[in-house]
Amino acid sequence: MSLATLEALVRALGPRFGVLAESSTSQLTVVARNGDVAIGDLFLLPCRRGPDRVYVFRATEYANILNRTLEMSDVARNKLTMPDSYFAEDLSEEQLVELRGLVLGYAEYVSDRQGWSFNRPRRLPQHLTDVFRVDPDRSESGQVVFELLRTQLGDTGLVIGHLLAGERPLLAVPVRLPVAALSHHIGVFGRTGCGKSNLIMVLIDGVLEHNRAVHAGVTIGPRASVFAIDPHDEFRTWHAAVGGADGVRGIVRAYSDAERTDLVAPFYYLTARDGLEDPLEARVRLSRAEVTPDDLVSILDFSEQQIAFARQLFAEHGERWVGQLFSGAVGGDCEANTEYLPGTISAVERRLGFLTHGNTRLVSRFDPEMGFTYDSLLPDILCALERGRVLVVDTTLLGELEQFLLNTVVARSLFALRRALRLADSADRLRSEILVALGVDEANGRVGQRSLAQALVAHLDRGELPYLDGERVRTPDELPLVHILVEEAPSVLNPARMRFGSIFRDISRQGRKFGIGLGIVSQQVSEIDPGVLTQLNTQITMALGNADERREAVRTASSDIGGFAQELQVLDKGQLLLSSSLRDIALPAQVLDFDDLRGTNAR
Amino acid sequence: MKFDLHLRSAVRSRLAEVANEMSAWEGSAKLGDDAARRLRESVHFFEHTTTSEALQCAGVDGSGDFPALAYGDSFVYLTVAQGSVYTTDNVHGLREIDLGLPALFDAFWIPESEQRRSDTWNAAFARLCGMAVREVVSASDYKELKQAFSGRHTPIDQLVEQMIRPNASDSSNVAIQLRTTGELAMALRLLRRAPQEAGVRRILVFDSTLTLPLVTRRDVSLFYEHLKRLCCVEARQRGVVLVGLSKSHGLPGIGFIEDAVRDVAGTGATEAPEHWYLKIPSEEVEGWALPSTEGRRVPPAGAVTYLVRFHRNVPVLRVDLDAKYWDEHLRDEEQVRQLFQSLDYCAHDQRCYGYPYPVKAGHDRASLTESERVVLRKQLIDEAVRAGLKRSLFRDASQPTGH
Ligand SMILES: Nc1ncnc2c1ncn2[C@@H]1O[C@H](COP(=O)(O)OP(=O)(O)O)[C@@H](O)[C@H]1O
Ligand SMILES: [Mg+2]
Repeated sequence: MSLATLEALVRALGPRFGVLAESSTSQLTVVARNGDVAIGDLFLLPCRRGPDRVYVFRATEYANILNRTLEMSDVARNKLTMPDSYFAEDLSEEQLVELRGLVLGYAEYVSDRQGWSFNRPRRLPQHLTDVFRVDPDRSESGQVVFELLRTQLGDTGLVIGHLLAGERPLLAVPVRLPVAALSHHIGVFGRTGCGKSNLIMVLIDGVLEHNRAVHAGVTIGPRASVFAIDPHDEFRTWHAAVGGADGVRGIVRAYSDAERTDLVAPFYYLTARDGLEDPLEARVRLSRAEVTPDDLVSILDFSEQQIAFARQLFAEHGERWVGQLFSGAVGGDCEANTEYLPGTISAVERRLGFLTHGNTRLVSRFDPEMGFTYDSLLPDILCALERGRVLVVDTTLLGELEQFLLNTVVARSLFALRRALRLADSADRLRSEILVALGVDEANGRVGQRSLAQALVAHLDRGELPYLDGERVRTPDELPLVHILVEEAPSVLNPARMRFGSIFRDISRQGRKFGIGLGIVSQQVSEIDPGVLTQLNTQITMALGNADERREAVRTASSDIGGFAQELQVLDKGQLLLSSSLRDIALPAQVLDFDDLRGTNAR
Repeated sequence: MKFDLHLRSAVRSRLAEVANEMSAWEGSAKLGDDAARRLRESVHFFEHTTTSEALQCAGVDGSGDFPALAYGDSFVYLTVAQGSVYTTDNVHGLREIDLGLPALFDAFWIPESEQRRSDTWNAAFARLCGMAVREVVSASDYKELKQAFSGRHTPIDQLVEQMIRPNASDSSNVAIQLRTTGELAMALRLLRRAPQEAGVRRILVFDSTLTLPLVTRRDVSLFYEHLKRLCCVEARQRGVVLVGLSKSHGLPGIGFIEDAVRDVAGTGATEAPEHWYLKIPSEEVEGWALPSTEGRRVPPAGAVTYLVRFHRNVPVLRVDLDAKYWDEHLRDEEQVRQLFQSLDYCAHDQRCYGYPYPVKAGHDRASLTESERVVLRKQLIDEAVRAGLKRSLFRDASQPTGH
């Protein structure tokens, strides 16, 4: 179907809804045969004033103004006092329908590009313009909307759902998240049960598909990686246990051996459980050697003294600082620590209690003299992320602090690595920058995170950390876009916690430069540090718990979503509003149901 | 005006004079004993009608913007007419049926030039009716009535030639011509479209009378007079009852008539009897006439006139029927009663209790709101400017004419 002319568009739209009687940017009054309108309905107004244009209007409120001459009080009185009276049924009587909402903009045909280009509204449609309602039951209508909004929708990227017209999705209008959005920061806000997990499942699926297409040479551009903490262990098997779609496991099982080697190995699923089902699953483990005071500050409350003390300890002992603290070797008799009160020391020890042996399934002891050597999956995790992998991390057996610690350590280490990469101009320089980035400075007696650094350099030399192309150092653009999902974000991203700095604040400010994006998933907007909120490039707003949260969501969105305020109230399961600094307009969408997408009944 | 005026004796005495004149006018309608008796005899009551046999009732009305715009010394007039057809329905009382007949809309530009004006009028009449002016004149029985009432035969060409075609700026006459023509043209279309079904009474109501203002003049006529009578001809041929329903009966002394009805009904002086009708007598049929109809030509030429009251909340209404149809079908009082009962049935909608709903529906649909007028004017100017006219030469014609 060619939709290059206004005539062709109008033909595809089917019968008109009505005629425009009056208009302003926020309100249309339409004389219509039928007042059947739903909140969120899209209306198209083809306009011939000047070049051919089609305005797109989205209704957020509507009112049927009853028959203009009808006196309701007369009717009521007659109905009451004249028992034999009736109310004749008119053929679709013309009504005045008042639609309040938003002119999203207008599309104009650009012959050079042979397509419609969408613009923010400047002029308004003419009086008596025909008004068409986009009917989700007519696929042609959807196609028209797709053509008109094409420049806003984009042709590439991860499909997350379909544009909503009223309460129904337009199946001809896919709503996509550009792959590049993954290396920027994304906020996902919605109350429990609104469909956040399903959305993430759909995104993960999209990323896997993308990587597969890049691998097959169908899509050009870097791969993408996702590090997804999964507190409910849902992404691996999704709804398989209850007859729904299998999760990442099912997707990976459908791969060829070669695809599994190139796109999944060494693992896609990390867990603190011991019994593993599949060679592509791994037992997640960090080492105490990888934990720095900065990580702990990001997830725990400390006083200034306590921080200073921890930093001092780390400066002195490097990767062995936690072991030192727990061994009791740090104390009053030790010269260097006289400035710290015993209270401070024991307070830090107490706070780190979740790392003591027997209290953690995540963090392994590190005490080479006692035979506890460096034992961690972190170097493999970092290498996997640098090769374009989706990693789902089951944290059901981990405490909340361990979960946050894992997230923090991975994010910080990756951030440090990418920074080192930026600074390096040769292979040798890269090796030394990795050491520097991890605080290792042998010449000055600083141990830093030596074990991790050595492990990473070894991976680099084996080619598992793909920073070198022969002797040439790769630039971050050649590496995958990495997205790190922070679930239950308010626990680590609230302003109080971030008082003394946070690794996530650094990433939120600078991550983009290094191709690392944060995905902030939260039930509330208001709990998140405003500094972090201002860094969000993409905001996905789902059903929120109350009016305050909706107001916050409107305030923080990068594009103006004020016109959608009414609708945020009535968002249903799986419905969202996608706003992005990369686009002019916010797009309401119905997210794909992953069960439909990949379930047994899938296409 | 300053409001202390009403205190001045001059004003007061002049008002008294006017009041006397008005009273004399009413008084002239006073009935003699004989006339009062005969009038009482002609009053008929009918049942409040809540069920109806198969019935189709159509209503039409016309309106417009007269004039919508002035451009230099020419004017643009807009005409709108709407019609709707209802059938009896057990659930809704009445239910509209779709004849697929679009509303009638016409924009009419009248130049202020004698010769071109005549052509543009002819073209406008033809557009509205879907028939050439000459065809309407020859198919209508107006010319026969004119011959009978003026005493002279006028050939068709001469009738066409001498038809009144008002000046562009004579907005009140133009308005009457266009509104009435639009309404009747719509009636004609409905008559030609409405399905004929055996055993279904079909009524077409329009919001006017069957008055023919110039029927006694020998040469001049109005186009709508011909058209009105053409509707009568077409209705007769199709077995449709054409009803001219008017809220203004145009009769003095309605008070005496209502007194007579009250006498018959035996109700108190303050009550308004309802569900009655009476036929206005004429010298030709009944051999006597009400004093009030003297010189007023009620009933009009070629028509019979009834007064009817459906409900006490709505005043007495005037009903004009084609005399020929009446002669053929309504001489039997029972038939007349059934006709009024059908109309009564149609007058029970909650929106206009006591007045036939199909006429109100036609009226509501045809009438233009102020914002619609504004929008249409704007649209017209935009189109004209696109066609090369000067925007600055347009004037909103509603201002100078006080429309
Ligand atoms: N896009 C969608 N289409 C249909 N059902 C959905 C959609 N998104 C979520 N659901 C359903 O809603 C319920 C809650 O979804 P979930 O993703 O677990 O919400 P959350 O993670 O926000 O608590 C689940 O039963 C899920 O199947
Ligand atoms: Mg009644």
